[in-house]
Amino acid sequence: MGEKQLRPDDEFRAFIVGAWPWLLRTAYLLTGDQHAAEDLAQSAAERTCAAWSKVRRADDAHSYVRRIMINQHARRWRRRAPEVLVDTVPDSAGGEDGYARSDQRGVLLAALAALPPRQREAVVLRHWEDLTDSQAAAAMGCSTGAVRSHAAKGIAKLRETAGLKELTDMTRVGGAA
Amino acid sequence: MTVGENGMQDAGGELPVELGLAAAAAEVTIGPVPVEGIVAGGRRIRRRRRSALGALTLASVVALGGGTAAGLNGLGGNGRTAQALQAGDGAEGGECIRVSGHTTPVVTEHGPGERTMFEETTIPCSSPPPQPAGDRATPEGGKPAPSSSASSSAQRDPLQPVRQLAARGGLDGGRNWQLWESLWPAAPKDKAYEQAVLIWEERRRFDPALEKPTEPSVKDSWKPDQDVVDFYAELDGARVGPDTLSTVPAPGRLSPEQAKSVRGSVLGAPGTPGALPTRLAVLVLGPDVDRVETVWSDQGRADAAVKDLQLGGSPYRVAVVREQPGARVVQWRFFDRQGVELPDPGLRLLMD
Repeated sequence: MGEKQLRPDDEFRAFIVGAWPWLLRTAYLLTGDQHAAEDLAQSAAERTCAAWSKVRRADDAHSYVRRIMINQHARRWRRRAPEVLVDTVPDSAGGEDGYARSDQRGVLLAALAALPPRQREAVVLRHWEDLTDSQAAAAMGCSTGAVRSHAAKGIAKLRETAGLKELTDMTRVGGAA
Repeated sequence: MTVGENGMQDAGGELPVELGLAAAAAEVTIGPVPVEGIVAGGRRIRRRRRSALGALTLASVVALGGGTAAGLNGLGGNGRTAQALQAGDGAEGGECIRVSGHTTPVVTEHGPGERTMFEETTIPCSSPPPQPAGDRATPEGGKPAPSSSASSSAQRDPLQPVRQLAARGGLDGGRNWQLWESLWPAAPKDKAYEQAVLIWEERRRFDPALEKPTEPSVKDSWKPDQDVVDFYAELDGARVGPDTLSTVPAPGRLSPEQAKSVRGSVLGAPGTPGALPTRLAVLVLGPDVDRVETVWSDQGRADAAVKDLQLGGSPYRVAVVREQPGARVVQWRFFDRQGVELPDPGLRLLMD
């Protein structure tokens, strides 16, 4: 009898344990920061839990969670001043370090974080989550055309930034200089 | 995994975005999943949503009743405080005041809790025969508090609540719970703020997060024809949060539609410090609703004891259903005084 009552909770627990790595990674790309990602992922997970009776009936629970997370991300962005989180102080790195692979990853993250939120969301959903335009549009609550536009602009900026492969770009992108 | 390992560095300025993102995402430290925190957070959100839903439906039902809409005062501010400020509705009804005096239950300081608000639905229907309490899910019917001092029906002091024990029962380990109802009679405008502050002062001892109401918000949303009803629980004689606050039309102000209304909220949050360690569905019923049946997930059925609110002359009725271990409610059924089943009001209490 106890199992019957707890079943929805147990289902949710199983779901969230399985989905957590994916959720956290996507959140990380959206926020550019480990702690902010954990915060965003947990917040999205809590809302999913609150609506689990509805989510569990949905065809794709992951889509539901993704949509919640994108909405949460958009809300948080609106609430705070634009800010780019970087792991390192840009102008402290030496020239050689700028070509280090880990730094290039940092460059990419910084560039991603510097994108306007909608462009960032479109890039992450299209190129990390590998969603179609229509799936990304559903997650973002906009048209497919808007997704294509945001994604194209975002990719263009990333290419431009990463193509320079200079930490000076990181300074510019990160805005910390 | 690094960007370069995924070929990004070899791209010669062309960023293979997917690989770059994958490399970046792989950097994330995947720690233990904070499952319990997530589940607790989800429950908190659910309770808040119910509160908001209840507030909205309450306002709409009162409006449907033909009276002045009992807009929840000061929703723009602290919603919890706002609920204590409601007063008002207009309609017809009978006055049969039975004041239970001022049995102030044991008041002990406890941590804050989350109050839930009523879900409310109006059901079309009308009148007779009650049913006995079911063999389960039905706490003992409440009796007037032993220390209550019945007063004259003419004494409806908006600054002096009347209280009554609505239900009580036992828990594992020999602990006892009691559900109290207190009614604050509708206040005239010049006393509305004073009443709101008194209600706030009483409630904030158990929910320090409650904000003090402001005089303008009280006066803006003042309604002259609604009593405020607060249900709160005690555990072993000490009050525990959260409570659930609502309004009912004052005597003589009940519309025909309101006579068929059903409202409900869940009180108690097992596992939450300072809260009742069991859940109670508290139903406030229009006077024409006479029988409440619960259908449980294990095929069981039970009737809840329906009793008159009996406070301040209110014609409303109350039923209390306690959650059952290992089962959830799958259906609520309501019957009028002729035994005719009312349309499903869509209550979701104890269904999760």
